[in-house]
Amino acid sequence: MRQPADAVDLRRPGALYSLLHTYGGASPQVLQAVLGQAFTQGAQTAIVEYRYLDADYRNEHSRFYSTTFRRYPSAADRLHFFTAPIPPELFSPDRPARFHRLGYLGYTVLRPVPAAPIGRTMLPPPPDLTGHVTCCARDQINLLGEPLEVTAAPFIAQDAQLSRCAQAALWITAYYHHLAHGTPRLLPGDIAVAVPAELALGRPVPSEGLSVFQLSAAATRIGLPALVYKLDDLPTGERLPRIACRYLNSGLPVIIAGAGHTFVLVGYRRMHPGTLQERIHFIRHDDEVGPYQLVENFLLDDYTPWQYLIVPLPAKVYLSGEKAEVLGEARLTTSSADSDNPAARQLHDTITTHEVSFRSTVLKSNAFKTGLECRGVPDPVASIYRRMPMSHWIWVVEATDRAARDRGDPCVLAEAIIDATDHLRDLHVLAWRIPGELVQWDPDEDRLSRRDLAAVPPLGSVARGPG
Amino acid sequence: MSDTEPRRPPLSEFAVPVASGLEEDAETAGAPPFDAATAAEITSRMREIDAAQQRAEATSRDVYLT
Repeated sequence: MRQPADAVDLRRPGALYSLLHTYGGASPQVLQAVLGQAFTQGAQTAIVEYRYLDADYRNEHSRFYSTTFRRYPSAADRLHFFTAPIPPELFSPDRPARFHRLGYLGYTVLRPVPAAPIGRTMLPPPPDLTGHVTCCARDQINLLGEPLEVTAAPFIAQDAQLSRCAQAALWITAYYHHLAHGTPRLLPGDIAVAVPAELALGRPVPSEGLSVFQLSAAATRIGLPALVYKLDDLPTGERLPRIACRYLNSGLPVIIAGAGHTFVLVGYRRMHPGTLQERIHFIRHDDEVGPYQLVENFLLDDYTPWQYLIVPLPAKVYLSGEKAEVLGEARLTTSSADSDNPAARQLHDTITTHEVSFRSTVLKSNAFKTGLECRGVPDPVASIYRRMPMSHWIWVVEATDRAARDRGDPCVLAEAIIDATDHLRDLHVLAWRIPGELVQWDPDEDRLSRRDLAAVPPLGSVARGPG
Repeated sequence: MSDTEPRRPPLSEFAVPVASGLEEDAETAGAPPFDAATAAEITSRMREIDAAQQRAEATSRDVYLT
């Protein structure tokens, strides 16, 4: 009987190459990227878990690989990475294997398909990108009876049969939403079935790729209806980084289509903020290259021009970020203009001179309420917000001091809370805070309630990214 | 009481209200959320956002992703 696992000492010269040689098959590029990232994150040990019944690969096997003349095993292997060396007791058959003190990094599932070996992968962001990847979620693993956890942005490579890049992008997005928001887990076959094949020429399997239209339709069918933006024809005042960062700040993966390929943005970092050299570096999962790839200039990218931006959203986020921001900006601007409070009038002046910018983030209202204390919100304000009835998903439109934001300091001067399910022809702001005042609109009574506030210092933002 | 509230007998003297911390502003009941000019500006910008989404749909069948 074959052993259940092997331990590989990655410090030994040639150990990584040995893994690449064994599992790289006919398409080793993505595995090479995954192994490289694990090694740069300090992986010293790999545990190879044999005969792993991976739900995703098992589903691919059931839907496709069991139908071919060429035989493919129905079980995969899984590779786990640890930052500690192999403990000698791991090789004792008289003691249960212990892994929790070995510094668990994450895992990658290895399909027994030579042309497409990389399956479901959960590796944390590289150290230089930690804190900039906004679409991370926690996954739980069991290795030889021991529970382990990893927090990462999910990744998978296309198998080029059942799934191409668009299906892989949808899988990445769907698995993230499953882990982060408790949506149903969707397997590759579920996504393949969700694609409306009749909206294009050709056969659905083997997939020759999807159109943007099909990708959007499949997103709807898997319960994550998407907003779609044509990047050379955006509404006035909107730009690609502004839209992408709005959703990334909300912890929502953003799919980009360009040059016949699609990939998933999972974070970004702002370089040289407040200077003429200010740039946004996007972080993407490219299923043909690897996870956490840095895009330093999207205008000079390999997939230039980026043509479409697609954001699969939780079904009950009816209101787009762009519309929420129009509404919140109008509310904070008019309310601060009408206020007798000098600090509110000063806020209005800085809005007018563009020293203040607006930032919109969608999140669950419970997360907003529980995060108030961490963001430094004073008790009188936090107390009111915590008692306020809100929709499950809310848009929070924040007026932020640009200079403070660029320094990384607390920067939120005012905010408007918007019901993400509100009626598009009768939009109201559920609540807003400007200097000196907090106001709530009661949708049942169509009535406002108010509270005068003492001075509130700039607060931390609800956004996950740098702004 | 609005008709969205269920008709039940009031709770007994054992129930103590948890205050919202806000004071109702009776004068604003039923008032529109924005003045006419701001409302028109909001509507105009919303329509522009909708129009851009519709234009995106028109060409989305022609961009193929592999």
